[in-house]
Amino acid sequence: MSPVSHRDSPPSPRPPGRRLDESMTLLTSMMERPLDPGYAAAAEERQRAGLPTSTGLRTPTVAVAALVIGLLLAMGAVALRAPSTSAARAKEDLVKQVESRRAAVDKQAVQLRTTRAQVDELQARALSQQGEAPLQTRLQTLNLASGADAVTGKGLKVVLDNAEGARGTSADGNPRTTPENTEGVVLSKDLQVVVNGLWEAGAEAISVNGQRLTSRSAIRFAGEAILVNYRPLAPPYTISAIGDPASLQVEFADNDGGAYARALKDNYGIRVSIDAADTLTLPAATSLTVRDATVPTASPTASPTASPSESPP
Amino acid sequence: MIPLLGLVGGVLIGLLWGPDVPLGLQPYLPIAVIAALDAVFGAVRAVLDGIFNDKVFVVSFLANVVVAAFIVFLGDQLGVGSQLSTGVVVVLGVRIFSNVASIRRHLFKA
Repeated sequence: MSPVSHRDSPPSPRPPGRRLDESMTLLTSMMERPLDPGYAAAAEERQRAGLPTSTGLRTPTVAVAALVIGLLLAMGAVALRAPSTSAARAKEDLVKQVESRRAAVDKQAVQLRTTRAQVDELQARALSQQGEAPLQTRLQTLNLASGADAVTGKGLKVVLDNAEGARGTSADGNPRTTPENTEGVVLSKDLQVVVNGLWEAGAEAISVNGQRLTSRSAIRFAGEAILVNYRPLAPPYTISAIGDPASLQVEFADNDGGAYARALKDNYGIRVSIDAADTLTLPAATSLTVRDATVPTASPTASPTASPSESPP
Repeated sequence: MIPLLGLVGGVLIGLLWGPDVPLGLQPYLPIAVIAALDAVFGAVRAVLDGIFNDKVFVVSFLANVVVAAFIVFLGDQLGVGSQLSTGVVVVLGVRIFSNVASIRRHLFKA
């Protein structure tokens, strides 16, 4: 390959022996003689010594060098394929911790429900033995209202989901990698208004994505996630409300919650669906604690019973 | 044949044993891989030219890797690590290309 000058200027007289492309020796030597000159030099030397120019490939040195190069290539491929920086590793660790803790919480919730069922059974037995039937019925009503018992029945199912193409909860949580559309995202406030509308419409029990709402439940926002009972939820949000489906639907359509849901649908493209359901099963709340206990005045011998407050939020 | 077996053996060892590259050496790994590729293609061309020499091959391989890593290290110390890495990649890339071109001429006569 011979370098060509693209300039039209007449060739200036140059001292003999100077190459036309002297200023580009680096480039030309790189392009013209890519082979290590050591090979040619060694070959010449061997030729002078009367040996063949090539040493051949069957030498232990070549085998070892090939092994090392293969190892290097494999190590490079393995190490560079996944960007395993320390930050990524730390994140992985954290995700693992979160998952294992969440599994532990789920396991303990199951255990808690079993234990609570045992306690309820023993309580019922103790009360019936002592002839405290009225107290027993009152306790059942309170348990139902406070969310201490799982409930099953007819009801209404309201599903809220982010609008098509809305940001949603991005997997990496990085706002820079997510699209700008944040309007079509369901916010904690939307859930609050809809849930309050359902209470107002006469719902007897409500759960959001399997989290039973009690008088002490909070629907909050933490970063991008909606927390119910301090558990992060992912869209779509399914709100199950127990009650008479027909009257619930009518009442909800009439009150502020229903109007709000329609506005969300019309103005922000949030997907809202409201359906009657024949059987809804709401789990018992797990985050109940006894805050206030009194000895019933009617029978001083009875054991103290918990009296959770029953006012809806 | 022997070099090919050695290469495959090395790849297998690397994949099965899977040694962890120390974090401090990781920035030099891509450059080392490219330098190794350059040495390999240079060796293949020398074989086809009939002037292959095992000692030259090993020395050029080691020197390539060490010098490339040193240049990147120097660049990191001077704050121009990525630029110098690019320079190394360009130079070795051009060499690989022209070596492969001459290998192609040897093999396909075109």
